[in-house]
Amino acid sequence: MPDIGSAELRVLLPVLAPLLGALAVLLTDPYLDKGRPKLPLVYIALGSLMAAWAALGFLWGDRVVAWSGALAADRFGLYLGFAIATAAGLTVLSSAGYARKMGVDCGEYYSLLLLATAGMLLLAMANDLLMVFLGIETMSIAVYCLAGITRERPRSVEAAMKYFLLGAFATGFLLYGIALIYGATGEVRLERIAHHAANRPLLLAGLGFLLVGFGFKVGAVPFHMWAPDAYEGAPAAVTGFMAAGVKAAGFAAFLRVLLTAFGGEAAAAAWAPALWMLAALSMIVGTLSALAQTNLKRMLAWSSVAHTGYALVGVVGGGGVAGNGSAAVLFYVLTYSVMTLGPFLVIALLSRAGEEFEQIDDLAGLARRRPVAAAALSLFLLSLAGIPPTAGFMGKLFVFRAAIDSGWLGLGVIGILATLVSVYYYLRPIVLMYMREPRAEFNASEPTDWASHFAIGVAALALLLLGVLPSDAIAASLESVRGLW
Amino acid sequence: MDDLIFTAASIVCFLSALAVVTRKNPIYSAVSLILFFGGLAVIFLLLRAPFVAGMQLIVYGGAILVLFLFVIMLLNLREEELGKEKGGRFKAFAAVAAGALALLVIVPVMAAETARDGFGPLASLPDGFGSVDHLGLALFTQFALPFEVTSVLLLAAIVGSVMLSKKHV
Amino acid sequence: MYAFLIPLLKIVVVMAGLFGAVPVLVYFERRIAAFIQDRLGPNRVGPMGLFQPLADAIKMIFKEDIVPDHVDRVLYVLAPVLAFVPPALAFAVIPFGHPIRLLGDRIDLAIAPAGMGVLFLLAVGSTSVYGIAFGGWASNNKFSLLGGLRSSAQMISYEIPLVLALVAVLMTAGTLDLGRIVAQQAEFHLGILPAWNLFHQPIAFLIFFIAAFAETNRLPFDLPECEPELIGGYHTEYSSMKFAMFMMGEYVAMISMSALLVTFFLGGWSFPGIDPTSTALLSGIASVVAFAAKVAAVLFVFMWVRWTLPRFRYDQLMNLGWKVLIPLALLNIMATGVVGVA
Repeated sequence: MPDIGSAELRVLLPVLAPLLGALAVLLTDPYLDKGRPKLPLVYIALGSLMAAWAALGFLWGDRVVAWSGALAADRFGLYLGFAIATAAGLTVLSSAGYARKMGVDCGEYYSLLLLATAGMLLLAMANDLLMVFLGIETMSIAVYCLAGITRERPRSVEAAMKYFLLGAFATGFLLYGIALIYGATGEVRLERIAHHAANRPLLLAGLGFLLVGFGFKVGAVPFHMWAPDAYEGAPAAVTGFMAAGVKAAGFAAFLRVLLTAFGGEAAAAAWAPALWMLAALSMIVGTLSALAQTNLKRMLAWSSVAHTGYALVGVVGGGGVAGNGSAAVLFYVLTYSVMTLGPFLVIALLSRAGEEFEQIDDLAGLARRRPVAAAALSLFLLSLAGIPPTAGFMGKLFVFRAAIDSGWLGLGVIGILATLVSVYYYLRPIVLMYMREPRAEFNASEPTDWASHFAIGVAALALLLLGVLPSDAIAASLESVRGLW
Repeated sequence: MDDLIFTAASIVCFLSALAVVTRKNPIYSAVSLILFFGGLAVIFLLLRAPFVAGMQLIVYGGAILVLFLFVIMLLNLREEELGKEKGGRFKAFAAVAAGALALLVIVPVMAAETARDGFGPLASLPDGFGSVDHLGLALFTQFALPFEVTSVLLLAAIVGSVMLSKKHV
Repeated sequence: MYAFLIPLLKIVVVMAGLFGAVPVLVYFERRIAAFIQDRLGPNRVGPMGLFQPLADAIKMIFKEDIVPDHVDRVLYVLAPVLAFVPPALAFAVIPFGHPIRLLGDRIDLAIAPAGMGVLFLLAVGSTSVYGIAFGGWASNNKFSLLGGLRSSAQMISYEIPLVLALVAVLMTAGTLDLGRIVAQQAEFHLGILPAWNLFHQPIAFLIFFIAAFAETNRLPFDLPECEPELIGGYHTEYSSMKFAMFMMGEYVAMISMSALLVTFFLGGWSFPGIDPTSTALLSGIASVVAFAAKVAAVLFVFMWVRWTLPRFRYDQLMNLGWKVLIPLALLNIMATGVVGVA
């Protein structure tokens, strides 16, 4: 019987904080006035996320494994845990105003957000396949519901439905893969699976199914079909959270499973070619499809598919624990989660009651009406394009160099070409904002949404900091990968 | 004897699973699904997992399927509302997809079987395997955290479904 | 040959007893109803109307078996069968007497004494809703459909408190083996008070007792067939033997529920004076009689309640189930856990 002592509880703290927050939100909501903005819920949510942040910082250090090996608090999980908690916090800040505009200012909204965060943190820290599955499901179910929360908009319902159906299908693959791996080894703990020879058909088949399941969750081509519709239909704040948090948590678990359970050379030789294909396809399909979009959210969805490809380049060129590739992925996903969240925060800010601000053409002349929003959006887009001195540049540089260093030249070249093409569609909105006359009316008369502005400011500042002074974050990412054992 | 029961149960499972997707009337699909769960429960029994077999019947056969039936009955679609059968091309595609999935499932297991790769025969199972005591002990010691996290998962599902279905936000 | 014969004999005897009891119950139901309502009841056919059930059966058999045109034939025919098979199956694991020794062999007085008998009971019990649900749907009649829907909602809702009440009992018993659960109750506290679970788990007993009425669709919870609103509910379109099968299913379910109540809470076959460790034939017969008597007593309560309480409204029924019984059952489990640890 495991001793449920301090180690067990300590490891659980980052998850407990948002979980208790979610319960507190649910219990507070009925006592609030119906018509008025539900600020107490925002405070509770923010408080619990800050507590999660503090817990993550408190645990930062050597690897602690608890709960019979189910959960591991190590730098690897905590690193992306910070990204997840930050993304959730910024989403809450922007939701304070946005949820009211969309008519979903309710307890369920915030509690689902916090429950999804708890699931993501569990996923990032999961050390056995059962916890991976439970983390993914807790996160996904909450996010499916969030995607459909604006029930009056048919597109939102469509997004939730498509995301849910395809997600459930992918979960089937994941679960079947886990079952096969368990059948082959009798183990669910990642480091114990690593002890088994990798060239066994059952184990390899299980790995294959896992790749499909994870491929779906991180949105890699050809498992990306849900992404455009889900991103476009879901309310903007949720989409941002989805793009940042789900991807960060998914990559954390994906990378951990690959490095820990299938980190041996024989196993790596099996998954590397498959991931090579996924990475190349994601970059090419994502970039080319994004070119043709007229809807900003849809364009960002395809861009997130392409970015999954870039991150996968690092996974393929990981070079194991000793190489820089895995650390590059961690850093890349960290920067990506901030820079993809940013544009959605701006969209949420610009949206009017019940109406999303999502057409690229509507951006025309934005710089004159809303200079701050336009500047921030430009910064985020430049970073997504990978233009220095933003974080996006550092992330791409780190990933591509790691891949080329470990001999994956072809993948590096595809990545660089895709980046060059992508500059076109990232720059187009900027050109529109700054060089065109305004066409649509902007809601300049509304009171300024300070919380939203603050969130956007934090994201922009983080991107600049990570771009100009990346050394600390990169050093931490290297340390994180080294500390996996 | 075990082989005989297994064969019978798998045939029931296979035919009823087939009926689930081929019946046009959703009520019959649901009825076939109940039958399928019954067959599955028998297979679980043969695998020395009586608790799982019982849960299969209680939770899936007894509770979830009744809710399915509930919805189907409330909608109570008539023949003309069910719409025309999907065309042959759709069916062909579905058959190919199902076949491919079946291959994906069967091939690794067969390969494992020929390579003598896997978990080992049932005889090597520990004493009391599949019993309620054993299961309870495992759930509350080694797998305590996954067990508890499941409740978080269910909470998320409950909050989400209540939110999506209630009249006023 | 011999090993094969004994179980077969047990099955035949139990099923004969079960189905033989149905007409008797019908007779008593009518006599008791009459007594409670201060009238005479059936007293024309035979002495004291004793042959009335026989006359009823003959009438049922000779009625025309109508299958209306608009029904869904397969499910319409299947439904009455499904209505009485699951409750009858429950008797497979219920111990109705203590083990006896006959011709040197130890014989358990239960058709299939299973280590996980409770699990089997729950699994079988959870499928008992289908008969009524299918009957209601297949009849293709809005009253039947409403009856079927009501019953599936009601039975699912009350299955939860029923099972939760049992969980508390199982926590004190520490086993899923019905034989051992009964054997534990055959002991005495302080030499006089039987160690029945009724005294260990009074709240669980109360919850189980209430839920049992809902599960068997008996008054005060007989909404699936409440005549003023739904004509006959799910069996409106049924006639002749198919109707009789629904009736039989209802009575068999009542007997099963009473038997479960007796097994879990009232000490099963145990009775002061019957030595549970004995394996003598005579003592075995006495234990069977004790079991039957207890079941009969519970059945009498079922009828007594039916003719004295008014019917619940549907929302009251749901409120009682979800807002009272389930929380109460959960609290009871918690309390049992706390007491068990302390």
